[in-house]
Amino acid sequence: MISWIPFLGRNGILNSTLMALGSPTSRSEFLLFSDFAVVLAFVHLYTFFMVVPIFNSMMRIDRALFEAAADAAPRAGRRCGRGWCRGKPGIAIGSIFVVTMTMGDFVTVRFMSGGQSASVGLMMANAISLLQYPAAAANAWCCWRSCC
Amino acid sequence: MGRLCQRAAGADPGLFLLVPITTIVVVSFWDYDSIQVIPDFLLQNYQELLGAEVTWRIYLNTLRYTAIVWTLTLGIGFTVAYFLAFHIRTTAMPHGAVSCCARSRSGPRTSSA
Repeated sequence: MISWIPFLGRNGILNSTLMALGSPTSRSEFLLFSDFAVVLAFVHLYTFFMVVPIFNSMMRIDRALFEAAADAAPRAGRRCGRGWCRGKPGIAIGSIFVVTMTMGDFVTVRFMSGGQSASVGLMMANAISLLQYPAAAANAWCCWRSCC
Repeated sequence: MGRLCQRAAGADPGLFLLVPITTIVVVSFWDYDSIQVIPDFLLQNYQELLGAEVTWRIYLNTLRYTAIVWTLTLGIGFTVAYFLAFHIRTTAMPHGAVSCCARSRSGPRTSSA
């Protein structure tokens, strides 16, 4: 995650390369310390947690099902559809991982947005760092109640 | 020590769930200033939290991040997992080599598509 910062910065690797290649536009400022950077870092960090459960559930599919599906409806689209259908448990598990970690993360948001954006976790972390434990506790309890 | 941990983890699930959450609920009603936390019963923390516009903006921002990241990771994750499961594996080993149970159930195999 940290290694995105020298890559995306105004004088970072990406911008320098584009300028060296003679890009007609000026240096892109939106790459770092923006929502784009936050989402990019999140996707980079958490795609793995989505891939592994889905892969696991797909590997458990009986391969005979695909032959049966190919015999019943010899269209390539059906195979992909069956992978989607049988991969649902993995998708559910991966979604739980990704959603909980994205909502709870505060370090990524703080670093990649450069302090220009905030999340619930960052709100609580700031309150805790200022010894405002009751405020953080109230925030945590509101989050908890809004979830279940 | 090992037995103690085992008992604590196995016998009482409330110990690591109910006690911290109850503590959070209790502390959320306390008072505080810049140097200390004062036991009390106030609704001020909730009033300040839910009354501030920035709170709702941050909540919405968090949900927005989550929605975008979930969509992207699901798209990329499904594609990568599908490729790994059904393309890498089938080129690496013969098609029926791993599904031994399926073969015994479905009888002798004819050629597949």
